[in-house]
Amino acid sequence: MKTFILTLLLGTSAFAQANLPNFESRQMVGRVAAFPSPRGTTWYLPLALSAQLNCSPNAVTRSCIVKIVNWLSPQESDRLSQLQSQSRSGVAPMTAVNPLVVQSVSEHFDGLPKDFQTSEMKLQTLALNERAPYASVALRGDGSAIGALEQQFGSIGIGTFESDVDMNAETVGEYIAIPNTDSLRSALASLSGQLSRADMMAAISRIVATLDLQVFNIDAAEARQTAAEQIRILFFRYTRFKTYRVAVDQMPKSLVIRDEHTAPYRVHCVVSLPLKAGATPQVGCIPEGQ
Amino acid sequence: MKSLLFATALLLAAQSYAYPVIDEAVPVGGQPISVYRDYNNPNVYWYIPQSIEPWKRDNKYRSSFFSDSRTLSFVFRGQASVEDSMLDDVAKALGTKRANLMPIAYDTSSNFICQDFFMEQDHVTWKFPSMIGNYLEVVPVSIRTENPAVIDELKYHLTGGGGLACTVEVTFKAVSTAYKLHVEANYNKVYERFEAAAHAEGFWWEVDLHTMLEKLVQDHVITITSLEDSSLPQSELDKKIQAATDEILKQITTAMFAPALKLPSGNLENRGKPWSLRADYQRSEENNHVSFNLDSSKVQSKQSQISLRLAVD
Repeated sequence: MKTFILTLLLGTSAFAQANLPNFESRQMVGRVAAFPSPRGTTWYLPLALSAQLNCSPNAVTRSCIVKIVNWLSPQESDRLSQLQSQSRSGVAPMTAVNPLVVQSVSEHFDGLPKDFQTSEMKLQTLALNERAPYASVALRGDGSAIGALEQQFGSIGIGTFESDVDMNAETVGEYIAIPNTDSLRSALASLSGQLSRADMMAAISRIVATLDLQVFNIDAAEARQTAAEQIRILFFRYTRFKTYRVAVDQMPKSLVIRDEHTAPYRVHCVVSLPLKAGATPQVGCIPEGQ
Repeated sequence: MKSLLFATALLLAAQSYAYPVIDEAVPVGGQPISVYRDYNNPNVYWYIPQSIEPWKRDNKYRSSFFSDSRTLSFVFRGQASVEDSMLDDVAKALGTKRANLMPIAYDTSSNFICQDFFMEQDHVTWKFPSMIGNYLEVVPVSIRTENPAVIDELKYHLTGGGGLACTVEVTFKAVSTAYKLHVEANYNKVYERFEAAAHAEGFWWEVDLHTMLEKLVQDHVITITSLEDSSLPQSELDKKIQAATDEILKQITTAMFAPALKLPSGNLENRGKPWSLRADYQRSEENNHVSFNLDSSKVQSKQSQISLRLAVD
């Protein structure tokens, strides 16, 4: 069931801050899918996979370990850091222990050569780690067959590693917020005494023009007009002298003026890594039912 | 807007111990680690150790490796680890001291499994613990063999080939969401239903309030939807609604009932407190559509897995 929420949020309750990956805004940051959101956390699916093959030296019988490493490159880390400025609460990796976002993680090796004794290890946690394997498969067999396996790893590949992730997502529609209301508070506080409607409207327009608004999916001019209306409603009081006075006592530290989002709905992501030297993973995410 | 009056999150009492809030990740820029805030202390943050690596915390323990043409012996001593430089960067991003970042200690562990692709070979002996302890404990694993067919292979993987992989399942305690529900109701209709079914003089027993609430939910006079998962099976949603029933009832009794001033006649046993339907309840336009959110957290045991990199260095 979808919940459509269009509301004016005052204050910063835990619920108001909670947000899911903003599916419609997904973008690839190197190998990982990121979901920038103006509402809160910009989540990313932390599966920056690559494969390494390590085989024991020439002998009658040899063994190889295909190690799946899950680790961000410096460029990917830098680009994720840059997304910080576009979101309300920063950037964070999804984890399998957070039930609000990630529902399940299922992983498997496919298409491995059949002529070897194999042993697989899989974590299924979405944990990033530079050194310890995220998953690995060991293959042991005849020395010459292992030699062929090494060649195959360097050319066409020896199979795939696939991670299937089910998660909850949302779609953010129009969103307007004032992340920090300090300048608004001081500007309004400077408007002392009684104001006529015309003076009030002019003052609000002047103030709103200088505000650092966070705007998403809405025209900037319309966003400023909406912000001006809400500021008038929230922070001006009509007096018995048919004038207006400023009332900023209840102003929160940040102010969400419009928050339209559809949530939650289920999204299925598949990350598929060819077991091949230098291969990069393919990432595909689709909403359930499509 | 009336819903705003109720939109405040209602956190039921979680124990006042130090626990991470596991379903709210703390953003740490591009750092590749999940960090969680402490339930009680706003200055404390928690992280889950990334893996178990060769012991380097101090000189108290050290892995040992020996091999020649006839025998191989590797005694691994591991520690749960996170890169120190990463934690420094996380602390910087959070604007806090490094000492305020705490590792989540494991509560239990089980199913310690190593990549044992030599298991069909003779004379290869593995010893690993059936469980591991908390963050500060050493994890001992040993491999010994006198089988010349595998000595070179093991030597390669343990010393230069990147190590062998093991995994262990762990549990830890954390605060997480018990339910996040959205409640909508036509209060005027709810009041009418209570009015029609009231005992003499408008009395309601607590137990009857519960029964009536269930009936109102069944009849969709009160609708409850989960805000956390679109695909929860109905049984799961029912469990959450059950857990939230007391809170919903509290909202409704506050709006429509007052404690009964005199006790009604009849058997009082197991019927709870008596309430009187408020005569001054206002049938307003606003009360045609009342909505509020219920948000509750509790300490739960969470399961995860951690990997071991079984290597000399």
